[in-house]
Amino acid sequence: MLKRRFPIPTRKTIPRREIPPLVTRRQLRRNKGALLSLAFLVILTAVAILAPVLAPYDPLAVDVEEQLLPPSSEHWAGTDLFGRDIFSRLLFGAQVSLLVGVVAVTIASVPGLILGLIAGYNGRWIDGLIMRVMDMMLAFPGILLALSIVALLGPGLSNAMIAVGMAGIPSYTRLVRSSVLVTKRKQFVRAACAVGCRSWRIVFRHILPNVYAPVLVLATLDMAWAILSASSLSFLGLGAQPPAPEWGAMLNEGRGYLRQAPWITAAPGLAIMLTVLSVNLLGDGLRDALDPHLRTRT
Amino acid sequence: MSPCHRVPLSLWKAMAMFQFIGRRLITSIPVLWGVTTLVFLMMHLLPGNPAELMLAESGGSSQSIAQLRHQLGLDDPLYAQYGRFLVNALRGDLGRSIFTNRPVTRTILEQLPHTVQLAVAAMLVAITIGAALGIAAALNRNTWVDSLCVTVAVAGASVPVFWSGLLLILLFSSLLHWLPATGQGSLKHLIMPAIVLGLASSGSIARLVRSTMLEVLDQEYVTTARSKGLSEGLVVCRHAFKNALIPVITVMGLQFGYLLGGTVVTETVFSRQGLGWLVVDAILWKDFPVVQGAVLLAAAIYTLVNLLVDVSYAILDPRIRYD
Repeated sequence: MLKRRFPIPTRKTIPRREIPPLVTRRQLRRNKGALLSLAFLVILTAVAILAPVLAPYDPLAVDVEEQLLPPSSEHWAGTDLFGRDIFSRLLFGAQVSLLVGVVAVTIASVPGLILGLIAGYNGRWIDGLIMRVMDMMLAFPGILLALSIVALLGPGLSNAMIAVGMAGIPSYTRLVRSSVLVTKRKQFVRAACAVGCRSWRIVFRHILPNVYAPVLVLATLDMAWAILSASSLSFLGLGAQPPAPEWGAMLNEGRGYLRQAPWITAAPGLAIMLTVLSVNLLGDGLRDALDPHLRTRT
Repeated sequence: MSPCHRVPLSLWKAMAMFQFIGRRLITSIPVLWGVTTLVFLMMHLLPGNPAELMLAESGGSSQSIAQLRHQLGLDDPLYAQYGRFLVNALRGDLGRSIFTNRPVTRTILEQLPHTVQLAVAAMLVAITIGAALGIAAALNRNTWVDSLCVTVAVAGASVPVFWSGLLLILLFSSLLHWLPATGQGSLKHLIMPAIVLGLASSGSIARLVRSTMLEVLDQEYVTTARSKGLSEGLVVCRHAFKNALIPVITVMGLQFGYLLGGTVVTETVFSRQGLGWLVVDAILWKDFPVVQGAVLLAAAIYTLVNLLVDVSYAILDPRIRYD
């Protein structure tokens, strides 16, 4: 029997394709700011999860005899107008802020990703329709769009997350659409078409893996915006409602006591700034690592 | 022979410019129509009945809710409501405030100058700080100055406006008594709100200036300018920064939208009157016609500012308008 020198590859003989890691450890090690930010965010997430164990006091417990106490060994960040321990409220506030960031980014990115894939892959009138609606949404300054959605849904943390998320949808749609337009012209997508792959298989198996890197960068940077916007809404009294320990709402409560008790506003303000700064630096680090053009330029 | 050879070159350039402006104006009309439609749909299709929300706190009966719906015209078919809204909006009539019964357009136009004044002042602060940080970072590429400038820029964008506002009030009003904490009317009242809002948006301008300056500084005409013996200051100001400014102008349009949104929080912190203060107040009082009108006007202003940015971009870079 004739033995082939180069046997025809079958499903079993084709080696499984190794997907390279999105960001290598070396790339992250080179960017110290991003690495420090990642470490901070990991610690913050652990603290948020373990808040019920770590918090020295009940974040909602009112104690009128301990009103407006400055930071001390008993109350590390002082107490507020109702005698509640600010440090405990900060720990529980981390849960709320991280939840807001993740939920708002999910609300923005999942529909944005799907709409971008549909618009970019289908083209024609569907593309035109989706993109015109996105153009109209982009004509609203982000926070104003979120404000008008909150106006209709009513104040509250869940509604603030929905509003902030919905305001972010157009950015993802535009980004994914432009990436799909570039990817669908590539040789491997044409090859998949030529061998008769179904559209959904081409989109999910071949196009999506080539689109998710920029989406990941945008999602990271968008999380910073989401945390800032949701805390702004809470500060305005339209997000988390008292007595919920949310950082923006805590700042709002301390506004009237700026002179007598500046620690009420100092601690949550610093917490928001450090969290947003870390997310921003991590996003920048990811962008630098994933964009070879930027890497060579700087 | 092409027709453009029969007319003087300057006239042909002016014609190309007007054509470009005309084209951009025409393309903004559907966007403005779409924005109007989107605001209308949001107010009518999202869950949350305005009449129910307005009477929720007073515990209105179903009869009073139905009466208010009829009074606001909310029981008409959607297309009839949309037609009425569109015709009235074209005539500049955005309805009447539910609480003050004053025309929404007049209420908004009274508040608009305060917001524009704040947004423009903040934009000047943002450009000054952003350009300074960006140029310093680019001229000291990969040194500690570069890292410091970039970190300051990112930190500036990460500070919540309401927190930096409160810190400035504490320092300059409560402790030093240099500036008034709240109110408006003089330049002193504008300084703190403009710095707070401008600082938040200077970060993205600084990063953009840095990256465009890095590109421009590597160009041959900058090397030529240096080889002619020009001082470094002259090379940076006249040759590099002027060319690095073009992409920055595009971002300024987007930043104006951010500033317009940012005024909502800044005006609340500094107790200033303005569009943002009006929107927050209207949301808390559930005055939907005012929310609808203010959001619509803000979106229209944002669209027009982006149109102006595109036009100025075409003036600065002739390649755009001849495409």
